[in-house]
Amino acid sequence: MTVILEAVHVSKSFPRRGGVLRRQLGAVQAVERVSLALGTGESLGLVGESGSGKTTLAKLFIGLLRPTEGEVLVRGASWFRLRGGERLAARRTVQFVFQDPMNSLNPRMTVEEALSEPLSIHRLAAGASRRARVDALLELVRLSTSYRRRLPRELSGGERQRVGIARALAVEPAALICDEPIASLDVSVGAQILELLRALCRERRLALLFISHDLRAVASLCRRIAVMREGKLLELAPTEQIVNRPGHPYTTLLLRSAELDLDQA
Amino acid sequence: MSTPLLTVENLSVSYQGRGEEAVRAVEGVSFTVEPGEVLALVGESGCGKTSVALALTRLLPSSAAVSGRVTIDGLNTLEAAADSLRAIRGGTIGYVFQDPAASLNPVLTIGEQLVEAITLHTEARGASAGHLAVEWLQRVGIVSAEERLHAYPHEFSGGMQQRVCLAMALAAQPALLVADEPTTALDVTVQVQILRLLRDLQRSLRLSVLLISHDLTVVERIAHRVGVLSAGRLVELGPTDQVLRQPQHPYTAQLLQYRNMISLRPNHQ
Repeated sequence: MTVILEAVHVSKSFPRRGGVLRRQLGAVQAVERVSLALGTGESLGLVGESGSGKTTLAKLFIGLLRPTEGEVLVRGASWFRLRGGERLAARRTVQFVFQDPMNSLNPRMTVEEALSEPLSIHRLAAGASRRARVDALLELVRLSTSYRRRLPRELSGGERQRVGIARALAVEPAALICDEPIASLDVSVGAQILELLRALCRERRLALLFISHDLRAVASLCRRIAVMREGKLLELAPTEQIVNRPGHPYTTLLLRSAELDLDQA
Repeated sequence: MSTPLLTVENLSVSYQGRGEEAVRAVEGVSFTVEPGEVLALVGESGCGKTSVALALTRLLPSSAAVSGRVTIDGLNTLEAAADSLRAIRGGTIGYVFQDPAASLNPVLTIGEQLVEAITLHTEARGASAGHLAVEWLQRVGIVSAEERLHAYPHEFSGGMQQRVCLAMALAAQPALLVADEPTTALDVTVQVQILRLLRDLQRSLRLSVLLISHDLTVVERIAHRVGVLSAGRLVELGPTDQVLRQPQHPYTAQLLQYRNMISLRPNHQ
């Protein structure tokens, strides 16, 4: 297994401002000294409640935020030391899937345009071969090629999420970061998206970081689970171990909550 | 068997779009809620479960055409006059919705909102209404209730806001509580707390509850009976244990199968 993404003692704090002059009053520590590695063909789940820092960590992983301490490495190179072409290549290595593709897809772009754009940005295909790639991507996410001319608003939530995944896969990334990809979907649709991600991980040797508040979804998809609370990584272990022999009392609480155990949690 | 508290007969709801054909959201739905019973309506987005909940007190937009019969306390709410409808909304039938922040008034204190609900729907006035407000806050598990009366909704966490919404709905002493996805917007650990609170209050006060949910596990924990809605139709209705263990309708079986795929110990096909 090759390591694609690695967080090394990463911290991120945001200034907390207040008063009429918006003076800095202190800092919110969103992520605190987290170390985490993600390798090819691996599915790693990141679970935590609101405010746990999981989305901040995701943004650090894709180089959208600069860590206040520590580094995030893409194939061994730090995001913020990369320049020009190297940085573009790193962006191609790591792709992102959002919770609600209605907000991330351009409402005026057809499915075909949305899937073609990353191909032209990264100069991967043009003309007839680009059309063929778009068809292949649609097939990969189990959508018929008749979807090419549709706009986001003409798609259901599940179909939009498939387009979101297809767009992320267009540049053939090595790693996929999914932030709550099934949180706004019906259970039946969510189950199908999980199945798709599972297949992609297995067949394309994708490194998958699956971020969710839902331990049930994480456990059903991922091989390893990282538990976060208040910016800290509390526990990181194989799923079987987390579910059956949790090492931290907070993990136990999350497990009982996930099962809606009203008399124990 | 006692007479039902709420009887819904042949309820249909359709929405008229601009010049287009009307969308039938609910079609011929019939069920009852018995005194002291929790009945859950479960289904996926667009199945019509919220339309049913809102149709009970005609809270739907004017573009909705509602037909059928909804009887509570011997009154057909679908034909009730405006002033008796006002007494029913929040009085006879209380509501708790998914997003507590949207249900509370941001510029009024928690106390003002509670006292308003109490004076509107009960005999209590002045100081005794204030006492009741404190009592209800304590009952839903808010500590130092007396001080918290002066707090504004934004000073409360989501879970505490939902506790306040529950207190406000129950303080009006409704015959029926309609809880529409009451835990969906909350963190999992908070979800458990609110669900436990709802179950405990239901048991101690013998509340009658219509629970609307997409989550079969939520339903399993607190509902006595469950109705399954699919594309506006009630495809199955029965005791929770029976419906979840031996589903009679293929749609119910499918919902259960998907639930079991997304679980801590998933069974894949």
